[in-house]
Amino acid sequence: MRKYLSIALLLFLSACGGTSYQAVDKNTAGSAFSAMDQKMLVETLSNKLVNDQAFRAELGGEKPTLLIDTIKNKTSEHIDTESMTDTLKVGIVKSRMFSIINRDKMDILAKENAIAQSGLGDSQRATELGRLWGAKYVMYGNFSSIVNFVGSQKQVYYKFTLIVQNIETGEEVWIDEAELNKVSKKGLF
Amino acid sequence: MQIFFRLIFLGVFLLLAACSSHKSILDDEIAKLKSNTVEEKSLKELEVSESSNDYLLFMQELARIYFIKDDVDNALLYGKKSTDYYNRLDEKAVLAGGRVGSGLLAATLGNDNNLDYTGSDYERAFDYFYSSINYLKKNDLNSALIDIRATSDIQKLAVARREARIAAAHDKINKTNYTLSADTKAILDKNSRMLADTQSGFLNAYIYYISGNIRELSGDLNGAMVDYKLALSINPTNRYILQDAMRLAKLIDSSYYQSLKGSVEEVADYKQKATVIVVYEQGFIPAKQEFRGTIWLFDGSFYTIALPYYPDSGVKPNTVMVDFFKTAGESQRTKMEVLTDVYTLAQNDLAENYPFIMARQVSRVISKGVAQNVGRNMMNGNNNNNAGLGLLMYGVGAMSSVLESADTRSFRVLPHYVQVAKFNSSQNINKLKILVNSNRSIEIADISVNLGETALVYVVDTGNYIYSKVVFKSRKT
Repeated sequence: MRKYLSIALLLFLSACGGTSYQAVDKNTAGSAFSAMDQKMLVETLSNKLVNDQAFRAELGGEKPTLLIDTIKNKTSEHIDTESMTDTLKVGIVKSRMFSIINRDKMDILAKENAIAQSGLGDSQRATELGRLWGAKYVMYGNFSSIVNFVGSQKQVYYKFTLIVQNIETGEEVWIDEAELNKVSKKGLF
Repeated sequence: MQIFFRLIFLGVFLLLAACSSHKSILDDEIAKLKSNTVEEKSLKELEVSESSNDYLLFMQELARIYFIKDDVDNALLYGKKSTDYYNRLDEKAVLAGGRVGSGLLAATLGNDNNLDYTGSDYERAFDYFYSSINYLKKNDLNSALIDIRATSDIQKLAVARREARIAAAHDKINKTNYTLSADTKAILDKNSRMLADTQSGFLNAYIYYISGNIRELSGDLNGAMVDYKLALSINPTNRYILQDAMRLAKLIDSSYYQSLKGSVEEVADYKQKATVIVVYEQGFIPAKQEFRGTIWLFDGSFYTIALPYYPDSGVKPNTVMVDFFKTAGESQRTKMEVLTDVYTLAQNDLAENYPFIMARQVSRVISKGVAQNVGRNMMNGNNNNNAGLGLLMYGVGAMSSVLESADTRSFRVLPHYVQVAKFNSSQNINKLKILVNSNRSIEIADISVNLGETALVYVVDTGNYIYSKVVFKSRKT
């Protein structure tokens, strides 16, 4: 009797039971952008900056003021770029290369809002912000991605570009980028 | 012996009962949308767990219902659940025809309703698109742009995947040996008529055109130009797409401007003008219907099959006029033009899936035939236990015609038609009036578009009730 009950139950379960997803280790697999990917990209650039001896020499042993502006998310995914900025900040503070400006003055923040709404390009906007806060340098970044479908696989190419700009001269004194290519584990068709 | 029949009956009943709820729930919600009586309580029925076969379908429907109801946070929440699910599917092995493998056993015993609902590329593009409009409602242009880019990625995916899917479909057709009854063939042919190799069948001019406008508002003129060009390649006669493409091309792409010049009355640069874009969404996607027909296999045996199909909606695009009222008092009337027939996208998607649906039908009827034969042999043997099991297997096989039930699931709360109008004025605009077929109208008075500003207005016409919302107003340029 149990055998027949099991078969009837199997019929029911097979009708109702959908697919359950197994947790995928997103840190290492698939085309999805993970927290570890984010950390890796930011730390790569942060290390490149603080270990750039030629750039350190240009700073002349000073510890100039630096305003860290936003990292613009130009990808097609909702990625927490504020968290990326924080990770970046940790690396720079530890290096003692710059004196980071703390953006906590409400009156200046109000003016900052007006600049953010002004529709200026990235470089101009960063310069205006740097001037507003009295910084010598300003840092800003772009995080972009290109999605491609090659054969039956989804490929996502991520690029994180970081720029340090001299406020007075407008010159981009340091620029570098980190890249990451992610490929879906399975075919799409 | 009676207990065996009861068990067979119980198994079959449960199999059928598990598959028939989605239609009535959605019929109910659509009726409530039409009378503006949607309640939070009834929407709870759609909040199924991720283990449900209908999970993706219901998450999409919920996101869209909340979008129409202007509940932005819930619309974003369920929209994200939908897009997250699709993203996880990207990492899974999906069988040709867009079906996840693990439901196949159930589908072989029962029908396609037992497979997980995996949506389609055009539905997925809509998920991201509405998410971007939700972010605009929150005045978050950056987040809206992220979803606009995701929408573009999905439309790119649709192009890549379609080529592979059609190749796989031809392969299926060549490998599967069956003959259809005349009425079955007729319904397949009729529903496949739109399979012509045109972009308008699977890409969405509506999404590209509004994306272009959003990109332009963000200052991304090159991105906007690309979107206008793509929208125009799908819908080459829409006046508003043509005008925007020409206006922008005149600034940044002179050779393209020359190729369009003279095709439509040009509009001046919108800077320093009050501009309003009105999107009018009409009706909903009709539910798929079921058709029962006959299939003959290579050995001469014949079986009942059930196929989904989209009926003729019999709905034409409404004639919609927009009166733009200026601060000085006078108004100006503009006719809206159709951007996209979303129902065609849905029909095309089904048509492209027919070879895979048919292949599953054939494997199902074969397995049921095998079950009947094995069951018959076991019943004729000497072992009483085997005789009982044989009866059960025979019974399951014999119920094939009862169990056959077409998979009629689809994203139904999407609009049937989408129309647009874009208007600019050298005076501020303070009110809109939308006139539908000269016998219904709605006023949008809570709009105040000053010179240098652009507003995006949504009107969702359910046929009975009309929802409207100013979703976004750009800063002064």
